[in-house]
Amino acid sequence: MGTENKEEFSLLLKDALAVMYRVSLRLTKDQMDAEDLVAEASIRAWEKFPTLRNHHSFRPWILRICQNLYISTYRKKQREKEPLKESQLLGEDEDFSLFEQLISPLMLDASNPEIAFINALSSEQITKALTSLPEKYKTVVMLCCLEDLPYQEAARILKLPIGTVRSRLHRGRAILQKLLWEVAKEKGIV
Amino acid sequence: MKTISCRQAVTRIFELLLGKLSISQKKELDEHLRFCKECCNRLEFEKTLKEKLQNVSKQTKVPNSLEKRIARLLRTF
Repeated sequence: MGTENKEEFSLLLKDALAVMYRVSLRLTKDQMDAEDLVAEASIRAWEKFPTLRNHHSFRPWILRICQNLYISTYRKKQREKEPLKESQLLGEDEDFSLFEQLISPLMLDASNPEIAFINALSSEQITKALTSLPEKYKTVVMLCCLEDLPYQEAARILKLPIGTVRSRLHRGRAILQKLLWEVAKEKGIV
Repeated sequence: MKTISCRQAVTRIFELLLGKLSISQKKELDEHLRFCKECCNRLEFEKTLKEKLQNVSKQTKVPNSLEKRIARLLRTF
């Protein structure tokens, strides 16, 4: 490949590096594994770069490479680390809303309990809840809620229909809020 | 203009925060929020929670070791 292509690839990769690392870290739950995953995805992306027609799609394209590599290489290892099953977190037909918990009569002694609750959560507690999300919800929540990717891009990265992305996002959000609630209870915030 | 229920408003609040609400859906939500304090509070809560989650997520910086590794890789391409 020519120097021009290499320069463009370098710029695009540097621009996508932070999001690649954040997504990889949440998936692998391990800094070294996340670094390896990003490096391997970069090599694979460079090999496939001539096939990428629209360079504006670089970010979802390389995130998809990360996701595929994770599935083929790291997932089995991670499953052994998966601490909780989805059903232990939230029943199949159950929904959960932090807001509804926080506006219950028991919580009304605080002037603005819902915002006070968010302010009381530490970075470590939030990271713990995000990391504990079951994998199939974690990637959707990461991409759509935290990285603000459109449904279509998330669907392309994850090779899922848009309807599945939407339903996983809904349930992933409920599970994340339940996890935050549990973390807050554990730490005596509520 | 069509009036929407609190349940529909909550769904639209999430869509709004994802930037996926059409102009007409946004107008219906705004109309609902004019009269429903609980949904206004819900919007404020979900917005603040999302910002906090994003801030925490973005605190995760790329380690120097990875930056150096990628720089080395790029030189070999």
